[in-house]
Amino acid sequence: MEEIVTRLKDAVINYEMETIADLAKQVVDQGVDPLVAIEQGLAEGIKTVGERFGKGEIFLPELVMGAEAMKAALAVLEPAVPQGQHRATLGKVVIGTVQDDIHEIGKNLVSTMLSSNGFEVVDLGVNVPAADFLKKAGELKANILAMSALMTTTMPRMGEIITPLKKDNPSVKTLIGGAPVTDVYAKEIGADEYSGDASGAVDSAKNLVG
Amino acid sequence: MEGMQVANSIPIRCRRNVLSSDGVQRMKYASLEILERTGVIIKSKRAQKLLVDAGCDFDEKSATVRFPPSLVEECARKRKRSVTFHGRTHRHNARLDGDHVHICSDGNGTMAMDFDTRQRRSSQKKDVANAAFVSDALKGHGVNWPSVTSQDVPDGTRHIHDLQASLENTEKHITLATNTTESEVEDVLAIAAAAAGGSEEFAKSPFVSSIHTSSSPLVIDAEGMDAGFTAADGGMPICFYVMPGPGATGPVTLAGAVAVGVAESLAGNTIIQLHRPGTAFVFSCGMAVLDMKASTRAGGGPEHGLTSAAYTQMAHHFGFPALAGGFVTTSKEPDEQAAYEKFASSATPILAGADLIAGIGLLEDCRTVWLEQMVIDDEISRIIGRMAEGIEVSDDTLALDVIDAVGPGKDFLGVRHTMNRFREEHFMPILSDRSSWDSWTARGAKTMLQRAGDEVRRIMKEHTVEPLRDEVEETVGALLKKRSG
Repeated sequence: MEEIVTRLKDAVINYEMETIADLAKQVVDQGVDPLVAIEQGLAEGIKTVGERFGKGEIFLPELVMGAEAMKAALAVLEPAVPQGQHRATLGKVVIGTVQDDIHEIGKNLVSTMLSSNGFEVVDLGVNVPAADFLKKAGELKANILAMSALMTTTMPRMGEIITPLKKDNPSVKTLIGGAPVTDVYAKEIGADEYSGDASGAVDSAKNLVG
Repeated sequence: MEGMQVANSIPIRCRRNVLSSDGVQRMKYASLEILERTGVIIKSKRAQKLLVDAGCDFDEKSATVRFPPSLVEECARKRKRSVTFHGRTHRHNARLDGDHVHICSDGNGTMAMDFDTRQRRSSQKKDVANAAFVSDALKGHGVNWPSVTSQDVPDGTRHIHDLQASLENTEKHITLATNTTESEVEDVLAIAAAAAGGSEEFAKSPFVSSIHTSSSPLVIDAEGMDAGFTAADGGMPICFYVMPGPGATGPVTLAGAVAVGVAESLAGNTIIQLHRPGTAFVFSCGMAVLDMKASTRAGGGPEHGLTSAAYTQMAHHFGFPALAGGFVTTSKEPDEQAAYEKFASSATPILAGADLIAGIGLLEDCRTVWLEQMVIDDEISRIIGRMAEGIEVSDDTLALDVIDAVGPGKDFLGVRHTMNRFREEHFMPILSDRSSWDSWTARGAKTMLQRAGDEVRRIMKEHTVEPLRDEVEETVGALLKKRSG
């Protein structure tokens, strides 16, 4: 592997989020294949960070900073990937917080955990209308549609998305979570998977694509 | 002192006193009046002579000594001003500077919950060793007072075995209470010298201190006091432990009991300083009420924390470091009662800034050691330690630039300020389970006791202790021969 790709990997492992974009520019300037840099550099780096977090060796701020570093480098490398080529991932996850709900820290953690475990994550943000979830899931050919709600008042929105999704786009699996959500509720509204925390969401997502 | 560290200790940023300044003054004059008017029965002939020569009133028939307040105060000024409980290795030095709390294991229990067989049985030498080893690994623990005593060894050799097992299994300072006679202290000094590389080396940075006691109310026995003289001559700091129990061996009121305790400690110091001026002297107490229904000592009661805190204030007022009881419970197993009693009895003295707090690892009012309880108590001590540290206010902790950079509506998880500071700013649990129901059940729904057991096993597997000089084993062997024969 090229030395600079190893440096990219180490930059993620060492949470160099302030300087990694410059390193990524050097990668492009040197003519290194951006897909190789993403897969063998960034993805390997974030995998190491994710594993350390899973083992309890590092903590949440470190995991998030590792992910921030990865994102900063991806922003440089992805546009350099030649048209028609794609990086290998475990699957594509479209994620968001449902309409009328703006509590996103849990959703962000799930995004971080999923991307650090090999998923490609598209984050629609907060206060996402049902129509947007349905549209994006189809457009982006998502494997998983992940939704969060923090309030009992917004929780029913998830069911209102799952029902039409099952009809129109049955290949997309659903994963839900959020403080008031339980496994019992998930069954009631027909969700495919539920997780009570960000770490568990990775196993749930793997079950769905496995 | 250059290179001195304050290891494994809790810095006190915001002290919570239990006595008002008027209360401290009244308590001071009360303790001096007890010494002058009521007096103390002193059974040691050597101590009697020192006190009479210094101008004390002595009633030969009852062996009661009455102390002039001026002598007591003069001797209080003679104690060594800065006391360090040296570790066997430098990084474990515990400086008793009045601004740091060091958590201490405690102290001469007689029972153990066998970690492997789950039998509650008489304590053995291996329990002394295991408890020292586990506590050596604990971040919240500073000084090792052997939790239990070796009872599977010949009579007359317990002090030798207790010290050997402790020295072999901890680098932290050892404070010892099983050396109650002059010859036993001599043995301890011989072993300590072997470990230090000579008596002079040991006296320069003594990593063993000696606990001696009064017999409340207001009696000081001969044998223990004479042993204290030998310990002081060998350079060991003296912890003078008083235990007037409110309602039994002290007045039922906490103020009265503390006054008796302070009087006894001042009497002990006066004797020690007359014998050897400048000796490091630590005010030490465990003043728990007598439970009037169960007729047991209620070490986990809220009063215990209060007496420890008040006594600490008085010790500091007279210029002494304080060793106070805490982390005590009368519960029989590491259950809910153990958790809240230990929290209650330790929070008050920690927040009051007692230099040393004894008690971790034991149940049944300091009788039975459980290795699991040691790690649970360590967690409690680190929680209260975080409370005692309080809130630091500075440019960096107010973080205005960070707040501005993140801006409204975003989160602070991915900023470097978070990563740089979360470890010291947030209490980091080792045993407390803060995971969701799902994660907890996925990992086997382990109880606190099971998690504590896992942590003990991890320590047993991963922790290491600096080995001793070979001379220790030779010295121990020779002494055992001498004392058993």
